[in-house]
Amino acid sequence: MSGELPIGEAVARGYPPAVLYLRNDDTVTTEVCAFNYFSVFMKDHPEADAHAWFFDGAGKPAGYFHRELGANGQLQLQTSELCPRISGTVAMALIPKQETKLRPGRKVTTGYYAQYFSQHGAVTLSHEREPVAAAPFPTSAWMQSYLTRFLKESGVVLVNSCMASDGASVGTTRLMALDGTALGERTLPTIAPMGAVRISTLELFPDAERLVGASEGFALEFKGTNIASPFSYYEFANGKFSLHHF
Amino acid sequence: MFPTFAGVESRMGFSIPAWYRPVDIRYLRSLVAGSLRKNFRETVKDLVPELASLVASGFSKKLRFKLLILSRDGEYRATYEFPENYAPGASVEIELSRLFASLKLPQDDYLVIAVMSRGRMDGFRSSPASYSMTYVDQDNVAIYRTGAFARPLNEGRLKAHVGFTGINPKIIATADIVSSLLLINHSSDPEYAHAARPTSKLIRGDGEQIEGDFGEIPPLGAREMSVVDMFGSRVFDFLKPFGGRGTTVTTCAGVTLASLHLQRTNDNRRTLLGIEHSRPAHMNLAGILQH
Repeated sequence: MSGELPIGEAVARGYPPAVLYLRNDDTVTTEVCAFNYFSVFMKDHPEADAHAWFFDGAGKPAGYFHRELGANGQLQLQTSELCPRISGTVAMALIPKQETKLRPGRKVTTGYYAQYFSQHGAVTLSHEREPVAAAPFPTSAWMQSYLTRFLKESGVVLVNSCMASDGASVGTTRLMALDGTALGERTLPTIAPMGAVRISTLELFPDAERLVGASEGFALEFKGTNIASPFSYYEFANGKFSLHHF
Repeated sequence: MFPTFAGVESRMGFSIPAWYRPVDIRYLRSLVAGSLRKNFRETVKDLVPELASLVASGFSKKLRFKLLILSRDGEYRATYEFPENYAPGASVEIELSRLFASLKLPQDDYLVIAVMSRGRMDGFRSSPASYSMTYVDQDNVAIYRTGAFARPLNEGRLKAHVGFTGINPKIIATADIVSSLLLINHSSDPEYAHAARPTSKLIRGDGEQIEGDFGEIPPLGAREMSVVDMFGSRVFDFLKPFGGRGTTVTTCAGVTLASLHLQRTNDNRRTLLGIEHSRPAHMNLAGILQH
């Protein structure tokens, strides 16, 4: 295959790429890891193409990568070499070379992982999240608990996995006590299609420490439109970065 | 079913979303659809406890939680019931090392089974939220989260299993980091008695591969094996031309295993850097008509 496969074409063909957070800066670099599992499960047609599309935080295309993967082919892609100093989203699709017939109304999603390397040898992992959506979608509330002793270091990464031009993410967040009491609520910044934002808890709720008080934990809730599964994170003063999906 | 590690602060959490309801139209619809796929006897066996628990709870939105603690060999150790009920919007949080100490369990690696008073049956393949395991190891915070699913596992009466294939393309073997696999031989059958013996192959970028034995995982037990444990210290030289990177493909016939991928410092597993559950790759191919 030569030339760039437009991401919209991959979605239209029934192979929507799966989205993950991308972070390449002085603190964190992102490695995308995949294995050609078609060669395990479709032994007669083991070849596949790996396509990766990169977007900055504002959802602007920031790069593209393609590699043919043969039987047992694999990818450990240092994205910082392709798009240094870009943080936003990565979307990846594994597409079999052999034309395959899809079940009516079904899609073929892609499974892969990212490793985020940060200072002092820290590594944090995530499997792929939602497939790219061609049209806007509502999201029910996501909620996850955090450790209060790391409140200052904590935050959330929000990813917009919708590629439609009218698919900006809008929503609200609530700071929750562990007993379910809402301690605060505010609107979220708008995220452009295929964009992402990283926001600390204190940016969202400057009074969070006072509101949470002595409790060992607290929770953050996010709801709105076009918000893929959020990622919680802790980023420490020494540059260690720990992230995970809700 | 979650692992804990001796000497590591291990916290379990579950945040119940505000929208959670024990029963809604979508769930009832899925119950009916799931029942239609089963025979009458199985349907009755599944639905009676489901409906009885609904009635017993008075259709309450609140959830109760219980933990069963097992050794890594799958031996029962203790039970802990949370004293409170939790309403939608609330979060359950517990530091497990502290709990083990209060239960007078010696410091060790354990497995914890979290049981909720209500779940969602197999026909409804969704979880209201994710369990969160947070491991604070020295100054590293490693987290993984996975859904709370209620489904038959390694229970032949309810569901046949074709086997396990676990793929980990994040393998690292360098002077700084050594990857591990942690496999759990879980089951929804308390009488489950089948040991699992997976094998693994390590594949590098040019397709060359070496094979290794994962060792035996007792029923309801778990086992962590680093790539050095499985393939010997030759892994460092084997992967060196590829930046210390590779992929393991681990298989085990006839059982379903839960699989966790760990990144640890290269110092005999002293520090846990990162952890993530794997996802079954074959599920991505479900949309293909023939394969």
